[in-house]
Amino acid sequence: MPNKKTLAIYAAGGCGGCGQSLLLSPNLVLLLDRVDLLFWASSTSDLTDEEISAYDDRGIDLLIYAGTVRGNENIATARLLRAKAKRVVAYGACAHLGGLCGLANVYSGAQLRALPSADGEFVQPLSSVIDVDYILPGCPPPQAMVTRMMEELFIADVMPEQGTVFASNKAVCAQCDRKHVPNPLSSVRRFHTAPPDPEICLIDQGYICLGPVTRGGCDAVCLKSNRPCTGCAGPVAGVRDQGGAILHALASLVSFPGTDTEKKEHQVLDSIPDVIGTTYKYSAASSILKRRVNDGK
Amino acid sequence: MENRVLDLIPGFGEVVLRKKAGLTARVSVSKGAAGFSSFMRGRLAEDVALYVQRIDAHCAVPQHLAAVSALDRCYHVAPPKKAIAMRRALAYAGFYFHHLEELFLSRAGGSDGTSGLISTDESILVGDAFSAVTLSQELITLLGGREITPERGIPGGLSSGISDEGIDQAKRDASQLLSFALRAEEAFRASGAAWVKVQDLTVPAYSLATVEKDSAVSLYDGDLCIVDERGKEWAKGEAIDILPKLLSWKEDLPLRVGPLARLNVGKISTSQARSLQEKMFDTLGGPPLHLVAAGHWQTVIELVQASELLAQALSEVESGNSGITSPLGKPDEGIAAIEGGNGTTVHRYVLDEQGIVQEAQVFLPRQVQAGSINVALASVIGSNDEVSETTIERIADVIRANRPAFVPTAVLPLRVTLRDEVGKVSQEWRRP
Repeated sequence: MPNKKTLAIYAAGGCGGCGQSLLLSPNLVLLLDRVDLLFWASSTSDLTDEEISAYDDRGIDLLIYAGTVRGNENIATARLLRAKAKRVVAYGACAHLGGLCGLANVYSGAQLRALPSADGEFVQPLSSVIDVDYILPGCPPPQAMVTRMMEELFIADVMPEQGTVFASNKAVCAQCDRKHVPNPLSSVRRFHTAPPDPEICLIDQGYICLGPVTRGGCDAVCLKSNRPCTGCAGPVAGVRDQGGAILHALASLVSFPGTDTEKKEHQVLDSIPDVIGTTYKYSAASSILKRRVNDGK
Repeated sequence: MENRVLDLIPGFGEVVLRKKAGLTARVSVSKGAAGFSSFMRGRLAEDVALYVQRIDAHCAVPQHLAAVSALDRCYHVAPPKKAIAMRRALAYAGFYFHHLEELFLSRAGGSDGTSGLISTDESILVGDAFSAVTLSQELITLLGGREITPERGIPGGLSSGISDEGIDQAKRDASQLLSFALRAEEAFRASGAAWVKVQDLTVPAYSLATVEKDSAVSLYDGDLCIVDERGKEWAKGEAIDILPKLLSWKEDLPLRVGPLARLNVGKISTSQARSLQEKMFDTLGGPPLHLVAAGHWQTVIELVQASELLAQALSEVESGNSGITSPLGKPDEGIAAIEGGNGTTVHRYVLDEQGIVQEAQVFLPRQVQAGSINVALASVIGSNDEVSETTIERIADVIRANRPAFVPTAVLPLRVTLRDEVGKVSQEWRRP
């Protein structure tokens, strides 16, 4: 096939789940037939910055970047890759939002440096260090979204608009078929100690579910397993701060009749355990909070 | 510097050759257990399995199951039989997927970059291998609720059950996986076995694996069993009793985990895989067997074993959402061991009364494997003081045949760097 697009895949810090989601795509064989794969590299094991430098500027038609950006070394490599690529995809929750390891940002630099294997550097989303053209959300990205990305980037005649997110603009709730039974939030429940009714909206039952503030397109797969959405696809279109948005939504649901209501409402919100881990599980590094800046003393 | 998320969890590998009064090679493993524990402190018990499988998605299924099993113990709860059957089936599906990935996608093997599978009848087997990868992930999705990173496991059982249609589909998938596994083993015996036989690297070691109540080797959970280099039982018991020995290994010989260790620790309980393993022993000798390359053959046999165990477990899986959890007790400490494709994983958690993590430790195969890899590296380098291409090839053989859970060497190309007396890089090699 003449004029094949050139593709490069770069995996920075990550768990390997993004690579597996690409490998599992039924379109992978078709993809590899349509592109020249220049490299599929991990951060340090088989590609150096010197080797990346050897590629022409803008010589890579499309770069898929998966994994976390953490520290100057990752930042330098990301910038180098950006210079070589015409278009860049932030693939998966780590590149998109900072991911789970962004929760390490709740520690100060001094606290991190005190750990045996950490170096005191903070996690950032890819878009905070380079311009990103496309986003594929998810941890790891679900096949429906991977398929859409491959079709739009490699099969369609026209490249998608810059800024395209290969997911739904609607919230996860749009694909959740649980019944809505509006109910004031009077206490916070945890699903492993009190199994939820699989037919009714989890928030209506008192569980913390990030579905209303999380970008959909995943077929609400976690809810179908009777577990709450944990927000891996990041904030729904128009929402800046995922954790802040769900806390705002929950606060609006807390309601008590009679007197002393403010105190009771505070008690409910204060009872949310591990607030950062629950509401910013994947997005702490890209939130308005970003990171701890002192030792909290 | 590789894989920054993993620096929250114990260990990543680096091969460094040093030219200092002769050549030395060593895989080093960082220990970051304190970092992992700090990361997990304050997290919710019900989220633990979600975190650990996203820190190590290459072994997502065993990490998920090890976490929920340890949490069962934290809550002093025995999950219902229905939930256990689902978890077992999930474990075997995960085991199968892992081995497929190792055998076909990472091109684990010897100096020709294969273990005999890819070069044999390549056009048919590799295409079918991709189908098998898809099928095994479909099973993980059906049983675990989500592809790659399953999520149904919770302390005390499962968050949801499977439908009748799901069970039927799972049984159809499992049948195809067994068929593929038998073909893969046959293909391996046709060519890979000859390759294994000419590999002469033998590294005696102690072997660790999990065993069932009848002492058959387990691909899910059970007691931990360690046998010495002669195959004689050295220690056996629950993870809580054996873990201290693992953490302070003092024997003269290294400890090994993974396929080569499992074949020394116990017999295979399923008929077809056991019969195939006997053929391997007829060819190579043993057990015990310490021919490093035999680990590849055992891996293919374990594809058959996992398929047979999967079929058995699926016959016990029942549909529906009822009876999938047991009431939780008051939480405190729990330890559990799960057998993953690369070896035994042990998780330990301490929860407070509210089910919040206070302490977390994960003991991974990569911590064990470094010992046996280093002994093997010393063997292949011998008294050489010059690096040849052959040396590099043999280093690659050692790394891959020991099935390390080091991401850069197991899944991705290997890079070996030679440093001089002051640590300056003087030469570098790669294996594609």
